[in-house]
Amino acid sequence: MPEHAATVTELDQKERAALNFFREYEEDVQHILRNPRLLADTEESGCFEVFIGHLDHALATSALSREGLLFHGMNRDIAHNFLFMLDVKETGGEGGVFTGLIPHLIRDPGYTLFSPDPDVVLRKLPGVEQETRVIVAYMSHPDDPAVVLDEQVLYPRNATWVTTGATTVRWDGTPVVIIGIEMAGSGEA
Amino acid sequence: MEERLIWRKQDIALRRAPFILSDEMRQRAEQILPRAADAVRKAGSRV
Repeated sequence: MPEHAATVTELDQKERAALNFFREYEEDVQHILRNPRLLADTEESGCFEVFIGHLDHALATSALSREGLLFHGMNRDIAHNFLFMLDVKETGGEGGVFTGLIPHLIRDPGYTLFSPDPDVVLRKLPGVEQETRVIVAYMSHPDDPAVVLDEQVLYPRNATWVTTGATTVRWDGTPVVIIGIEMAGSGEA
Repeated sequence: MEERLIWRKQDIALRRAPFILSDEMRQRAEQILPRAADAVRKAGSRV
């Protein structure tokens, strides 16, 4: 169990079932949330909305017990454009902390999942050898509406994150740019 | 399962923020990013 142990004892049976369903079908659920037209005007849309309602309520009634660093990765199909937008240089070495960047907003219509272990994220990021990897780092707040799920931390859907700064480091010889983020908002669409 | 920890281009929308960072956010980033860098560096040394 990560150090961000969440308070989940208040969840009712439907909310626990919704979390279990999300655990099993996360990829499909996220795909629908990010492409809502897929389910529009179908028989399943009502059931999906009920399920999402239970999941939203589970998150709204949960809270992390303390702060902790959390990480999420940027796939290579967006990472370099992301750095260009932020005007962050891929120096390839270790650098200082820059907070003079123009802040940008990252909005995810799905739920945002983080890992407290950057190694878990970096190992899954595709890229050729020595290619710069890009991850975001967030310091969770105590009382954040989030749930620990399979060693990861689940945050509400429709969250908007704001970039706050950047630093560079090496991970087993591979350059990594870390972008700091803060939650700028969340909630239903 | 860890793919859920990665944003792909089609997953998110990126845009410039219509505001500047508050001093509080900036100071928080100055505290958090070195800790994040340490965590990544340590993770790399375990590889």
